[in-house]
Amino acid sequence: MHLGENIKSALKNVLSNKMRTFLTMLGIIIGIASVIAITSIGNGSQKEIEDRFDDLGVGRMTVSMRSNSPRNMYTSDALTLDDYELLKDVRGIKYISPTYQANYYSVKLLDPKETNTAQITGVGADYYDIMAPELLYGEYINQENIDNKSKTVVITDTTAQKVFGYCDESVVGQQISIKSWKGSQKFTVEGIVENPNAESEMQYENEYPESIVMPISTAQRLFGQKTLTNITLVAEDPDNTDVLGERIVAMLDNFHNTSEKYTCESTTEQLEAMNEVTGTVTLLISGVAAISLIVGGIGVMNIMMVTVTERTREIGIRKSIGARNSDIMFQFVVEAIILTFMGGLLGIVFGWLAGLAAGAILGMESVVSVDSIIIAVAISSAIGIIFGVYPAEKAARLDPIEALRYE
Amino acid sequence: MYRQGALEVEALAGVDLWVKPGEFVSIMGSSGSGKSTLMNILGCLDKPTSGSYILDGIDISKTPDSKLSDIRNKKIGFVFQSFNLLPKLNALENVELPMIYAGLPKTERRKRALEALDRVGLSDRIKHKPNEMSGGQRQRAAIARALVNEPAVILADEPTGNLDSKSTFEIIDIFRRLNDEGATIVMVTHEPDVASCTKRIVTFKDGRKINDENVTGGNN
Repeated sequence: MHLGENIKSALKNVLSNKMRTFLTMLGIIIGIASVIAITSIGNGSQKEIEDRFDDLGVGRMTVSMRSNSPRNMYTSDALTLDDYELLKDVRGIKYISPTYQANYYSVKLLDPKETNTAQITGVGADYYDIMAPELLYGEYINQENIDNKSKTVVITDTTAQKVFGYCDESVVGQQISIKSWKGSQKFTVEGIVENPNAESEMQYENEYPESIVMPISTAQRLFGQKTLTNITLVAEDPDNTDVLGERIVAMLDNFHNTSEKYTCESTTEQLEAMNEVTGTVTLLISGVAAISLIVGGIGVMNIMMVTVTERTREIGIRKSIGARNSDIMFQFVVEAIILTFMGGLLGIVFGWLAGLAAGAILGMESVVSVDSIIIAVAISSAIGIIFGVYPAEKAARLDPIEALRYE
Repeated sequence: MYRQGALEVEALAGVDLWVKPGEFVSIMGSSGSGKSTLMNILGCLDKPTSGSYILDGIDISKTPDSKLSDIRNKKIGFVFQSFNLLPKLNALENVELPMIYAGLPKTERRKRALEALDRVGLSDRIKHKPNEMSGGQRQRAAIARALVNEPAVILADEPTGNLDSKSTFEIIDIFRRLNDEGATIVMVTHEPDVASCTKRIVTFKDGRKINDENVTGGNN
């Protein structure tokens, strides 16, 4: 019997009792919908992480001391500008900058009625190219500032707003005070960049420290330190960061005459690690949701058994006019597949909508991938086959004489 | 013999029946006489436990079960007392069904089904479903379905049992016309009126053939 004829007659049968069909499909619909919704949220958060890493820059690497070094730390092991000089000309590095970060020192405002903590970052001339911030006014820290140890800073638009009450061109050239344990010093605003986290920081009012960038030389002198927090760099080839990282670590170990004291992490690696975690979690939850697919399959099997009994006479008639056992078998399997396939399609639609809704509530993006649609359709059809075969076989084996006598 | 549970019931014994092409035979007998068993064997729905059944040169008793459906499809046309049309299909689709199992292409199926419906005078009812037709019309659709694959024999099991007398004679008329056109028909009936319209009457009792006579004159 032709496949086309089979599908046509199966559709006719399935649609002749819409309520029963819908209830039968419900298990499949719920199962597929939850898997689609969960994977879409999973994909969405993965994409969000990737976007965030894109903002951070692909192929960016951070050289620092191992926090969990197995050996004792010596002051001679700390990273200094000498290490920066050492690495500066290594092949495969596009940009490199030493950084010194001092957290939570108070920034005293020029208009001294409000203080806020600040995160001071001392940077090299390449830092602008590495971080690629949105420069709104003025200029960024350049080599001349570093050479002169000049007291210049780059602040964000939100800091400018808080300190000066406004943010425009005229803020450039004005002064702010930074107070450390070494006393208060005045710095000239050289440039204003956009605060990329402005939106999320707004929700927490003043709890975020003001982000202030100054020349590395100035920062080291301000805090009386010779060490670096880390060295940031961008690899020329983002896909080959591990080779470059190993080379850098080897050079530093050699230079300091130590071993296993340094690490060079790339954003690529971090991204992979985070994606792996999200992927595993998504898979796990999807697996739980998939259990309802089995329950749905059992429902389909149940209703197919009922259908076969109800249509015993039809089976007898079909056999008497020449239907082979295989024709009958095929007819009922196709009907079961149609049930689960349609359930799968509806499940995709509902799952997609549920993903959008959940995404909107959680403030996440929901991404339905083509892969997950193909897999959902394949799985729901496979359920039709698995749970449809037994009832169909029962139908195929019916004795035509008995079947024709059935009332 | 007919196997029923563990017990072998002898439903038919020593039956020797020879039907030639172009005959119109009626089979009579009270219930329990073995008519139904005979029809099941003739219709290749069942096989005799012993003895042989040769249909159109094929020894059915030696044919594997898996081939019987093909033989039913191509060599036999069934007409039942209760019509046995598929309720969700219209007349045309019902008549097309045997040809779907025969694997004929759609245009061919459509053409032959329309021809068959025309032969039973049902051309104006092709889109009607069984429950939209009278008993006589349903049986005519069933006859069209039976003859559409040009079978070696049309087996009719009490085809007029559920019909009023007007429809009964319409149906008998159609059978006689088909027979005149060359169709071989074997019909079970318990109505002497109906049997007398055929060319030969075979009577069964307790699983044995007790009478076999040609009909002459009368209604013929």
